[in-house]
Amino acid sequence: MSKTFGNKKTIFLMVFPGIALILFVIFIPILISLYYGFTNYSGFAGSYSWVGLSNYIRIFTKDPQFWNCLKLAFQQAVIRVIIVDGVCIVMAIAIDYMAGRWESLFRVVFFIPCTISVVVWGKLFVQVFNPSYGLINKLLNGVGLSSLARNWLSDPNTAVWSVHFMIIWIAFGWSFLYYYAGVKNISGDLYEAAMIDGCSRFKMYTRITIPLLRPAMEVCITLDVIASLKQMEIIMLTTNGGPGYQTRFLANYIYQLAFDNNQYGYGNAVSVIFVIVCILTMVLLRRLFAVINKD
Amino acid sequence: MKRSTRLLALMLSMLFVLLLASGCGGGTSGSEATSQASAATGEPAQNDTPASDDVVTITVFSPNVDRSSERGLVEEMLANEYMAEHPNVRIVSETLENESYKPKLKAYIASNSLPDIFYIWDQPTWLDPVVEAGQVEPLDPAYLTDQDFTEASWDGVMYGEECYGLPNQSEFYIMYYNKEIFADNNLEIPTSFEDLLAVSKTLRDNGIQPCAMSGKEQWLGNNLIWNMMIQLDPEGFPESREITANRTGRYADYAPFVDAQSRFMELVDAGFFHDNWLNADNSEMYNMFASAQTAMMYFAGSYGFITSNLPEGMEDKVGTFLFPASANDPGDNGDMCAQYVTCYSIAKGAPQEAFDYLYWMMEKEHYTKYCWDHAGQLTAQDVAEYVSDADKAGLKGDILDMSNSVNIAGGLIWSETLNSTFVSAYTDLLSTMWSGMIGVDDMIAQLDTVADECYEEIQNG
Repeated sequence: MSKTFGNKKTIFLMVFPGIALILFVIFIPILISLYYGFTNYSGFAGSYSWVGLSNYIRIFTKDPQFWNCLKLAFQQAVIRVIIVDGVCIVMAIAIDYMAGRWESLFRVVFFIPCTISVVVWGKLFVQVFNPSYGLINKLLNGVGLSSLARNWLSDPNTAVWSVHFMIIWIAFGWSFLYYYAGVKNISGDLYEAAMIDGCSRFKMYTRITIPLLRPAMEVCITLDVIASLKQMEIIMLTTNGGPGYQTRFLANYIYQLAFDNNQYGYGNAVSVIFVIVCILTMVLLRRLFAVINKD
Repeated sequence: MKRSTRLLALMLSMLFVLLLASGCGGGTSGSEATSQASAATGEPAQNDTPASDDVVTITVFSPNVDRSSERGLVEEMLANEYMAEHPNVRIVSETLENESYKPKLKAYIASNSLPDIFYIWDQPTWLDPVVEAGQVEPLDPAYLTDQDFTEASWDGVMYGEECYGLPNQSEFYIMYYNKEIFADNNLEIPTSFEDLLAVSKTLRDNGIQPCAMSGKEQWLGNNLIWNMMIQLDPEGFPESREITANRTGRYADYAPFVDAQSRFMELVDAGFFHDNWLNADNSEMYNMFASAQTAMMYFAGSYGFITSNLPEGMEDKVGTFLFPASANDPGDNGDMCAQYVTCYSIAKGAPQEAFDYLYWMMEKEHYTKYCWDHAGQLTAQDVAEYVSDADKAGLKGDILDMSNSVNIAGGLIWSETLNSTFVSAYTDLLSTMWSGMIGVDDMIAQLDTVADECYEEIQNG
């Protein structure tokens, strides 16, 4: 058996499908994008010309929308990590400690948002935020706070935060699942030993539970940052990037450039920069985790 | 053992390649899906003729998804009728909802695989690049000389001296209003812009949202701005196209343009549009009016559209009027531009039968008659001979009267005469202005800058 699996041809044949998939679905499209990023291809079949670095220069010097999209993505990443991961850690610990026979119910309730299609959520939130008959304004009017009622998705002061709220709402389930699994995997012996040593509940959670949740945190934070950077669906379903381009994320911007503006070449250039930003972000995150783990 | 493991690995690799290849196949067309679905139910399907070596298949791509009403029904009826008369022709239709249709059409264009006959917008941002890419066949309007096409409807489909599409639609925009709400609030039809603002104030004071509007995609609001610009300058409004396409001047210096934008913002600031208008699509706009949550709605004059989903008894409550000009405007209420924005075109390399079918379909007694009789919609051809006495009554007659009171016909809307980048930037600026982030002057200054950049981009190739 070991001789069979040590055979290089056999290994190649078994590994080839996976490698081919990654090559044709990820790497080669990126290279094609890189090529078109150096052209003024409109997306319509026909002639186009090589424009060198002018698309990339335009991104860094003449495109405020690109930087706004990037800022929005990182803003979402920070808010998401702080709120989603923070709340999910607390909820995972609380449910493990206090829920008792209601534990299963809480698990289901927290995870249900993840099972519902993002299209349904998008349409639902458009109704919830409706200024005339939406749930939020109705509630505010009902409790005498009508001065706080807003046109949540159209008001430039509230649109961005409404979008952040929607995305975070949908993101809770998966993060909670990871942290809950992490909490459940911590051996009870550690808590017993701590209690024998006279450790308070708070210290147990801060000195035992949270440090042992570090692997789950690394996974969740990485996934949250990736999801923030590639956010698209909720925007398309709700604000479509408006008002103006206040709520436009990078993926929406790339879509608009390539398919609405017929600027396929420039859209590809933006997508290449986007890939580089994603890679750099992941590298920085890994370095940060490595430093923290070393400590 | 070694041989069987290699065999297993080889089979897995082949399976993977087959899976990849199957993922590259084309999708099922709407009509083919209909055929397949009907095969499952055992009922006869539309567009389902026996296969034969002599049968020529024509593919038609259209955004008219609903094949049981409006233009979708007309297309379906005409296709079936033609196939009955021409057993050697099989017409296969593919339909997608409008917002899905556009990206798929672009995908067809990019892959040089357009269906034989396709529906396309005849603005320079759509049709011109396809013509320049050599993917469209020139057509001969001489086949349709006696078919009463409006002269102005040919503007958008001409590229140089050649015609690349047959115009299939005319659009003019009117105000629909709820007669019952007006009567309950003692309101008369406004005859001037000032009256309209007064009506709006009365409605708001009485807790009623005045006018449903779709602001999510900006094009409808831009149409209204265009309408107002024409009322402000009925003789000189083509200058806006020259300023855009050839940068013969600046928007900031063209007073009707500035005034039209300001007038629109006057409506916004007065709360004329319904509360969620900035986020509303056409469906929400329609539903707000149809469910009597707003007193008015601004949209294309189309009996088929307005009656498509009205609650029972609502049709009798719907009236129409032209968007009013200001009392001091050089133009009057009928000064607006009927637009001819869409056409059917034929892909390069399509069979002769596609040409024959399209010319047959666009004969007045077919397309225009069927659109009027079965969809209540107007085309780019004169419909007068098909209007019965019954049609002249009620809402259908009102809309027909509106179409006859339009003073100015034809021509592209000014914003479509540059390129897609300009259109996109302008819609972003509109959205920004409408939400109050920038003022009219600031928007126009930025628009001039964008227009300069787009114009330079086109000049530099």
